[in-house]
Amino acid sequence: MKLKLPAAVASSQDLTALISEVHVYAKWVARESIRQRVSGKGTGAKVELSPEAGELIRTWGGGKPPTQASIDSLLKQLETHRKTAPSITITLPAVPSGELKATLVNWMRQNLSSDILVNFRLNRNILGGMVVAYGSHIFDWSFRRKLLDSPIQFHEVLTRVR
Amino acid sequence: MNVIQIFLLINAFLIGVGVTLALQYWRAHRHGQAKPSRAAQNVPLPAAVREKLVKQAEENFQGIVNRSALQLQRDLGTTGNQLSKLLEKFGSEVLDDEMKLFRANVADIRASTQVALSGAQDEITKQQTAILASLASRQVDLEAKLSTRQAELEDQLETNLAEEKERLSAQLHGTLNDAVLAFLLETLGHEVDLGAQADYLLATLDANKERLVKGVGSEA
Repeated sequence: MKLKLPAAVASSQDLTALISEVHVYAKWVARESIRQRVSGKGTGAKVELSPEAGELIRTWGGGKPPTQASIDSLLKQLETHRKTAPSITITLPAVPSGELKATLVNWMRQNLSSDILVNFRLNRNILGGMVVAYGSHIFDWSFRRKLLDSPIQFHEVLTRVR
Repeated sequence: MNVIQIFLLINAFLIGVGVTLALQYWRAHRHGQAKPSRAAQNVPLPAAVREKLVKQAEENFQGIVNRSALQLQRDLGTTGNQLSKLLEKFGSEVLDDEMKLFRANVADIRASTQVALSGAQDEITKQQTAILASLASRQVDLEAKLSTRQAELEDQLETNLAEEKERLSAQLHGTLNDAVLAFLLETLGHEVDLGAQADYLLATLDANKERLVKGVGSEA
């Protein structure tokens, strides 16, 4: 089954956090199964998962209750994904909202690669726009770069303003 | 032999004649006193007569001497007058001659001086013409060099001005950019509204989609 990360899991840090959650969940599932086999009933207390982790586990099981094997395969897939997935970095002048993050991540996964990880960084000096870095490529579409690349036009604009 | 020399010779002759006559009178008087005539020696005269004769002879002699002296004086006066006139004439002639000679010399000198002056004037004129021509040529050369140098300096000045203008403009642009960037950083750096930029960010991504895909493909 192909892994499809939710838009909220954008960066490698998000993926690492997600893997930790799934690990915790996997341990809980293992303990619960042992208790089921020994005492015939579980503890009843469930591990609290983030919506993204819960959705991923449900999706990964195909709607069935998660088993130890399915969770182990999910963990393995997530680890593989963390190691092999392409990663892109977007630098913004302010902290992006969740909605904006999701929008940008969806655009990246639709147009570049479905399994791409998107890291967000903050740099107030770029004033506006964004800087996209992928491997050795850096695409600077910031306002600061525009100002620096067109000083004459900027000066003409200032002259017209005066 | 000119007139003056002839006049001087005549005067010398007259003076010689006068001196000869005076000497003859003087000798005659001496012989009359020193050597009495043989008749007198032979015939003794009374003292009174002799005294009278001596006195008469002295008076005659005195008269002759006086007349001769007077004559000589008169001749000397005449001669002196003539000499004065001749000297005056001679002086005037000499003066005239000298003046003529002087004038002639002066005229010669003037003529030679005039010739020399005219020659010098011609030479000066030639030299002046040559100098003027040289000056004109040199002035033309200098003007040509000056115009060339002026054109070079103007070109250099324009180049320098353009370079300086470009440098100042670049410096001004840099300063303005820095100032505006600093201003924007100070005023907008902490107030960036990414929500308002969301559409712009998506539009930027769409506009550069091909470049992004190509970059990701080359990295993969």
